Amino acid sequence: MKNPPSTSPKSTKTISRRSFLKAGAAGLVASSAPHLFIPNRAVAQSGGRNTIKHLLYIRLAGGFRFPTAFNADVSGAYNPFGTASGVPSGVAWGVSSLLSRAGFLDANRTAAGMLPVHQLADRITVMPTVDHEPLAGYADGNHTTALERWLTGYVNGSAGLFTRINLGLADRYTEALAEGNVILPPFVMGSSAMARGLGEFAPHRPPVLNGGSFDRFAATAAGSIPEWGRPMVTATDTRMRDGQHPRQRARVDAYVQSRAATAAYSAIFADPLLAIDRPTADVVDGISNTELQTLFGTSSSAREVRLALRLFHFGCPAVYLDQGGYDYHSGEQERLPTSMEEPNQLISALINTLPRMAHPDGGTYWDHTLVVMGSEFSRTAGGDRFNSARGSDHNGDNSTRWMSMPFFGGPVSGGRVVGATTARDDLAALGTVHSYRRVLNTLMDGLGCDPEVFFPADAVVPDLFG
Amino acid sequence: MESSSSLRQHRFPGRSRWTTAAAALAAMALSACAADRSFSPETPGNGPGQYVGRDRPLNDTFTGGAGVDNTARALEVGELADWRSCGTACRAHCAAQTFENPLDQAMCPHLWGAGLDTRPVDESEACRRLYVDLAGFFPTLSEIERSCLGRPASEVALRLISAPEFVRVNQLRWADHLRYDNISVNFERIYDADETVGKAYRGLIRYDELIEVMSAHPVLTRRFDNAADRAEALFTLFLGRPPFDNERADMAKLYRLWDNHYFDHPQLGIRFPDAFVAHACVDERGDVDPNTAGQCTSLLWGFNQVILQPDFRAVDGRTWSENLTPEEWRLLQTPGRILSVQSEAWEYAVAEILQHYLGYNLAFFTPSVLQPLVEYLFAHSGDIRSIHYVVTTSQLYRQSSRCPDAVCGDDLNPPEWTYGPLKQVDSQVWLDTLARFGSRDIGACDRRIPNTDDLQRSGVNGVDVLAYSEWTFTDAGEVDDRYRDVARTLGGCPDNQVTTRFQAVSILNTATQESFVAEMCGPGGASETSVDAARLLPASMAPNRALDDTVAEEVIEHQVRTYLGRAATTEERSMARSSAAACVPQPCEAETFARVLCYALLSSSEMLFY
Repeated sequence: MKNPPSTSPKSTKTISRRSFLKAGAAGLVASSAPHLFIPNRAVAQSGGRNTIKHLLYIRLAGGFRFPTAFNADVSGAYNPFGTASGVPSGVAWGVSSLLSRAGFLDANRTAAGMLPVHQLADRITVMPTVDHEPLAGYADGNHTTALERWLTGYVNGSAGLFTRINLGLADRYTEALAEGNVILPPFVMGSSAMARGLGEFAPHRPPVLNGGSFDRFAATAAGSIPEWGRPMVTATDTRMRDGQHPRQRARVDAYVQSRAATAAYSAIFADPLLAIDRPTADVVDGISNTELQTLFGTSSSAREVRLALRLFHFGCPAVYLDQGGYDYHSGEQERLPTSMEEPNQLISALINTLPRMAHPDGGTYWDHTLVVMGSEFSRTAGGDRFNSARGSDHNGDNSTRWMSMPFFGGPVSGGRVVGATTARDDLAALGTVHSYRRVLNTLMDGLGCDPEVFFPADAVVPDLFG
Repeated sequence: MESSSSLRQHRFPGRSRWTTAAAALAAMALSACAADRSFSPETPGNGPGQYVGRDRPLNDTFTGGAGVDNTARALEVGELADWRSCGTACRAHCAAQTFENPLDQAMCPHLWGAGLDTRPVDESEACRRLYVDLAGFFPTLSEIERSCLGRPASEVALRLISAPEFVRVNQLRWADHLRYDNISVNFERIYDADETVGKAYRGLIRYDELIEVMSAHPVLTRRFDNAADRAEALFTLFLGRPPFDNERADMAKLYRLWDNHYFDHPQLGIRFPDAFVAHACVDERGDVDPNTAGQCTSLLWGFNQVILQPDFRAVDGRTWSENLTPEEWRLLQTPGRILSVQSEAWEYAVAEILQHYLGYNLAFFTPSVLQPLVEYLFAHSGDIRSIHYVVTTSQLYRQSSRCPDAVCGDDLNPPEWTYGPLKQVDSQVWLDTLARFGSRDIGACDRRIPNTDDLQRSGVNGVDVLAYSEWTFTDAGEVDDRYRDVARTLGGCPDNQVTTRFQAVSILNTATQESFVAEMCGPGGASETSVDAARLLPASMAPNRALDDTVAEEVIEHQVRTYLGRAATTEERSMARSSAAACVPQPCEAETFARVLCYALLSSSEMLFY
């Protein structure tokens, strides 16, 4: 078996200082532009600062009817599928029967120790009543604006969460680069507004990867250019740049610098470890890509989660992805149970594999990773179990309003409810409703982001970690 | 004072017993109507756009166009060029110049009259820019020679503006403006909006007609949650700014009726989000309610009232937008009619086109250019194509972006209109061009159906819709996502749920571009993804021909002509000879050299900026 390469952010692939400078430091460290960043050393009080090395942030796309999964102990008008039996004792949140669907548990996965999600409920903590705007009179049930809020915290927010994370960790990249280390930035594999960046955030937009694959980078591009041909590549750009009016050259320079910076990352992009669909028995971090494929499956979301785990290997702090499509205005009764198989498999596989994966900094990936799921809003059937098309819609009521978000991973102990619960019959909030931006602040705090990038009008969730 | 009254329709059948029965019958009839509605997967467009348009274009040609090059006024000794103020000498100079193009004429006081000059026009460079902007792809030198060189610039621009590619390019732009998203809006309405935009860019409707139709089009109203948001979207779209508070509050009253609801598509078996009219501001009998009519009445721009009285078509107090008559649509389009008589709307349209073609906000620095261009647009019956024509034939647009240090190096802060535009190419133009050069099938993306999953899952009719669209399928019958995946990484083919098209220079974008080019060119040797050597070499040159200076020069001449749309320079020929001499293992073959050169040229900044 192959030994795992050294992988922590502090010890990832090294290049010499000279090589780094040659590679175009300006492009590479765009995220550290000092004039754009005024550090504020105040530390938010989430109690879990710097406890997350990796965040996997998953959107159940299209608006997910949360009580059918994570806040299930409510009336049939909100969760027509009922609750699960066989839930571990002590679990405080309502576990839906849909979480017990486990058609994915074939012999291999069962042998590997994967379990149905309802049996893993004690590893998961739920915030049942996360709300976009707790002071607003009604929910935002509009696809466009609610998704804006989900991705950027506000309607027309100036930066996606992942842009904030990228900026908030800028010091970390700068320090790593000063030591000659290349660590990957956060990656967005879903809605690119998560990587939105206006104004001061613009230089810190993280990469957006579609198709969930680095295959196209394997053995291609700069690495495949023979030595004798390289002068043609650089000379062509140089001639173009030099021929332009002096005032036009900056944008060409940006591309030239980006090409140099890309060369520094190319070794990572082309690393066989990121070729997640290529069969290999090579064990890295305690598990092979082949085994990951066996456990997670081959759906597009599964591929993205597997890729995320491998990006984490190269120091990537966070990956965002969209899973499924739950905008079931019709046919929800029939289709949702089947659709739940996929997120169930992802949850089950993550809870199975993360504790088995050795982290380069010591401990396991479970110890250092937080997985969070959510959606732009929940759904409503207007007081019935389903609407007239056997589906559900979204409007301004409580049923649309509460995003019941699950969290799991080492930094968050499982089985708990954080924030307000809901009344069984009308979903009225019982306790403290946290804003969605508080949740984002808490995640950024856990990652160790500079509080300067937090949403300033929102606090953190004080009791999520631990 | 402009006035419009509420549209009188059949009376709503009150609350008597017979009317209850009638309502039930009407609901049944509607239900049958929905089931029997005509639906064509090939042309699914259905909406208010079908009620507007002409058979013939508003204009077959345009006045103005490209004229002779103008000259800068000679400055007095010690005088500095000042584009901000035009004195006597400046005005006299401009009065003595001959102008064909109204943009050039309007810019004279800020340019030639002020003692500044434009860069010379390079015909090949200008033609390449014109093709990218108007046709959506980089041309080869052969195409440039055939269609541009030696021809009047006005003729070239007119021909490109009259071509279907121009219509498609602008349909793409409006897809971004209107953020087509079939998750939020029934795709049949998106098709209708797209066809309406197509009419505008074929010259079949006036710009004010486009504003009117779009102001109440479901692609706009259904995307937003409430009347105020719709009013804001209207202002942002057509005035380029959000409304002031009083404008928002007042205009929102004319959007009071719109209601977001769902339509169960009988042929596709999918429930689609769609626009409905909720009959507000009427009493329980369906008559205009004087006590609430004010909620549907705007006074800021004159007396305007939008109230539709319900009739047999209304179910649960709302009428499906597909059941509205042309007259009802016209009433609902009152917001657009209000905006279309504001000079601000026309000025914004012109300013946005200037920004699009020039790459900078000319109207911000020289707002005086707007008025003459708006008048020019009026003189062409509101045909928005005329502004595209006048900008792309102007010297501002056609001048070269190139300038050596020896000429331009000393001027620290010249205004942007003294040198040609240099813009980053849209990722889809880049992809389409590479696919064209390589004759590669890499799939496609249809702006009208950015989200394909629901239709693909829905069954035969849904798949038919996709099959007739621009999407392509894999052999396995799935939507081919190769193009979409690359384009979305680079910022194109947006899903428009919250994100529109973007342009970026980042490590991932650059790596993606480089790898895509590498796949195509095969610089490390031919592979199953790389193009045939014959496409990289001049006609009749054998791939295994021994590489020497002559071969290297012929190859670079061929590729520079094909990819960069110009002849190879002396420097490039020299570079080719040097690289050929260094090529190992010797003796190198023509194909080996051609593949590396292909990568160097197609991944270069000259393919990214134009």
